[in-house]
Amino acid sequence: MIQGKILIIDDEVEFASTLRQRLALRGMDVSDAHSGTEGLEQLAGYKPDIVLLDLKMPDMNGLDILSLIKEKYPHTEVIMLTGHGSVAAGIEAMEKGAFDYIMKPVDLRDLLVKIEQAAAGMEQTSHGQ
Amino acid sequence: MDSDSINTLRAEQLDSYGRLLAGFSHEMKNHMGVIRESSGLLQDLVAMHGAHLDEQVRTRLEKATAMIEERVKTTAQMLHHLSGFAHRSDVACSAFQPGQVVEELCMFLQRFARLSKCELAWRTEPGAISIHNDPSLLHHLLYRLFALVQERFEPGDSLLIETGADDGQAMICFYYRGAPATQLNLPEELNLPLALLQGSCVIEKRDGGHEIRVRIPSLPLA
Repeated sequence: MIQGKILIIDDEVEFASTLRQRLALRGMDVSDAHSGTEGLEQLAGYKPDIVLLDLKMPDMNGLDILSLIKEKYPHTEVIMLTGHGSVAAGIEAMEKGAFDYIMKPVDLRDLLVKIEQAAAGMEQTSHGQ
Repeated sequence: MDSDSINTLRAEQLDSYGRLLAGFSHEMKNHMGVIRESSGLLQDLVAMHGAHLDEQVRTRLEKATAMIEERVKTTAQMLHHLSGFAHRSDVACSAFQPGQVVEELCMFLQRFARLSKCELAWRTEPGAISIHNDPSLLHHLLYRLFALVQERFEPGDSLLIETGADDGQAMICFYYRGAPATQLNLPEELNLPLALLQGSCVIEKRDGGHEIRVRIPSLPLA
């Protein structure tokens, strides 16, 4: 089972909520936030290890939130969720420190692999310290 | 309005359509995301907590959710291509793989081919090159060529669109089995600004069918 807390930040309430339920059914500790502002609040309180972050939200740009996360919580891994047709946006996010990106509509199997990889990377880092 | 103003207006109109289409595609992906997750949640619940369900009900639920998943995947793929298609009009000229432009277009041409009871296939040959040109105009050229070939389709005919390279230029071949188009002056017939693409068209017989070859050069960077 994947250890660590996961936070989903996506303004699509039904998407975030359903994805949260599916990850929770697999034994994961998951929370969801439905705006950039709410996401930043939860980052401070919930202290997630992995963030699934939507690229485009009405109140804040996902790339700006990514920069804030990397600045304040450098050990938190971020996987970008993008509905944008361009792979370029995902690559730009990775250049800014995102662990990886995944296109919407999300294939859960792909997402689980990326979450596992992010969690494994964090475990290695913590053992190395 | 003079012709320059009309051309400017048309270009702006195309740009607007492109942006609207890209927005539409983005929105649809969000809806697809919710449908996929909801269907996935149903699948999870049936798999994890559905042991008490009647066998028939369970099987029907599994089939229905699998069908939703399959259709969402296909729709997502189409939206991905629609998005790429729409963004092509963002800039007049850019670097791109002609094979990708062909693929974006063919996703939508499949329906027209199916309605004509014809088979449409496409492939990119190894060694295809990237070029600097106008991808939106290439969409237009390829669509017009497809429409020309489609007019000659009889049920059971086939069309293969191949992308490759020849002498340092991108080459797109329409190989089809149907009535020949050999007497046509393509640029004139299609009313296409081939001069803008600086492309050339050749029509030849090939393996019992006909082949229309279009060369698309890489334009110098502005």
